[in-house]
Amino acid sequence: MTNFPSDEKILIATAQQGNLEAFNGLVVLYQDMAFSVAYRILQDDGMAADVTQNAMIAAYRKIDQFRGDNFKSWLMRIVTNACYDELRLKKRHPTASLDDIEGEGDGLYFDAEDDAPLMATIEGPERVVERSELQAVIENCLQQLSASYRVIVVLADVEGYSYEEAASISGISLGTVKSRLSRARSNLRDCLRKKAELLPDQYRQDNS
Amino acid sequence: MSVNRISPEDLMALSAYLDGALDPPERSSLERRLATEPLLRAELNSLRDTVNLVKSLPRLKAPRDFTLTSAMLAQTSGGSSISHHPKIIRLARFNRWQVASIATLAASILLVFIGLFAGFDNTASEDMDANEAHQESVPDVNGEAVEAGISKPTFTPTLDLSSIMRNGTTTSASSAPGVSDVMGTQQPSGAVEGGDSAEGPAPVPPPSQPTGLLGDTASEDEADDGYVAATQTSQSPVNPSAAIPQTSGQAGSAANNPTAETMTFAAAPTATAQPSPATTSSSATKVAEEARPDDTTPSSNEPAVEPAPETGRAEFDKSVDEGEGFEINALLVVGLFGVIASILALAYTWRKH
Repeated sequence: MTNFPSDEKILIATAQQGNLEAFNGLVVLYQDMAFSVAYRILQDDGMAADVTQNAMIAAYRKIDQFRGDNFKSWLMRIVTNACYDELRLKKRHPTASLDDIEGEGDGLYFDAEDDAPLMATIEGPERVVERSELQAVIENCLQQLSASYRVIVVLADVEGYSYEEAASISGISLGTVKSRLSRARSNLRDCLRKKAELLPDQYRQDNS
Repeated sequence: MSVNRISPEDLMALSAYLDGALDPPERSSLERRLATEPLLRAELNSLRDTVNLVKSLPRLKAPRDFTLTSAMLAQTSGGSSISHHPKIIRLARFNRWQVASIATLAASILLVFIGLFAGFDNTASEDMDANEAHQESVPDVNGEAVEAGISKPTFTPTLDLSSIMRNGTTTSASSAPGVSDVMGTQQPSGAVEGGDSAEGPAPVPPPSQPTGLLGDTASEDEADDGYVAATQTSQSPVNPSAAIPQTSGQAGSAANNPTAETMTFAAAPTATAQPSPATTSSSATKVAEEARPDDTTPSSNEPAVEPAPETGRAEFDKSVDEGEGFEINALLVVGLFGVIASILALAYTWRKH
């Protein structure tokens, strides 16, 4: 991993010349992260896999347009946009319009009804995510956030991107990132509090 | 609970504070408030715990490899994100058309340039020779004739205005005798002139040639400049007998001769007869560099009696004009056509894009 950045640069340069093998090297490097982000935004294994695959194809097709040095952010932007598209296309819920996804409103419980069976699908035979009870609670609370909040929490807190990177990836302003992140955290806190009995002692003591 | 009493601004400040994203003044201000406001402090702690919990979520493992295969890339359909693909493919197709248009444009421009530079001494001098160039070059020869003291009447009868107008691009038929006459009567100066201006008209035609081709609107200034340039650059690399610097000086003074403005059509016959040798022989010297050995053969076609090499060159030049010059004109027309067509195609694709 020490020479990882230079390896990545070589892979990018080679992939930009149309070399599929080199691009697949980049895929292997970033597929876990891409799938992880897609899953946490979409909260669905199958959709996340589809989106990840299609995002990789899209990235390969336009990798010659990539400029700069932050390939990870560039790829994550493609993944995030693919997630937005997926939410628009697949969610037939009235609140799933673009305005609601992008909006700043108080729709905190985006698609709560539709997402209810989510946990059941996750527990299926193709289950890829081993999660403790605590993790399940957190994921559940994440899933109850509106998509626009969830994207920012996933990018900033789960994946650890800076505000600037999160703004660039999600295509929103820095101020909006700060604002959405603070509200999302507040909503998550409220959600977790409701399930306080599942939480570690320390958390319960702080909020009791 | 404290939650309800926290303003969105405070919430945002606390959130940014957790990430170390506050300006130093904002941070110290918030820290002072945290020291005195337990509710704010409790809010901060709960937010911090929440963030820590979320950050504890593990990076998920991809359920399978998402590496691409060429078959995967070949099929454009499938998947939920189908909306991406048609856009990309359409973009590629547009680019291909635009590349084709640009290639056509480049090829057409190349064609035009080939036509221009290959037809340099042929087409260009021909046009000058045949049309306006007659009148432009009049002062040159006229002045020279005056200064050199050469008699004009010798060749005047052989030409008239109608022959000039009628001849268009090929002056050979009617003006050739005149040319030969001129060559004959004023051979010394004509020879020198041919050699001297050999370098001159060469650079001149390109500017005047396209206009002559397209609209016969060659400007007099260009022609005048050309002759001035011709006299200035007189090195006579071609003419072996051009050991006459003073005649080149004559040509120079002739080119600048103010009688140019006073020329009329009445004087045109004398003019047309004389400039012909000036221009054709000068251009011919270039063309005829390799054709020199044939100097004697063209003169057989010539009614003129003079065996001067310049007549041969002039004749050679005319034969070249009639044949090759026409091809080059066609080349230019095709090239210009291609330029226009490809520009239109480019504009169309870009507009549509």
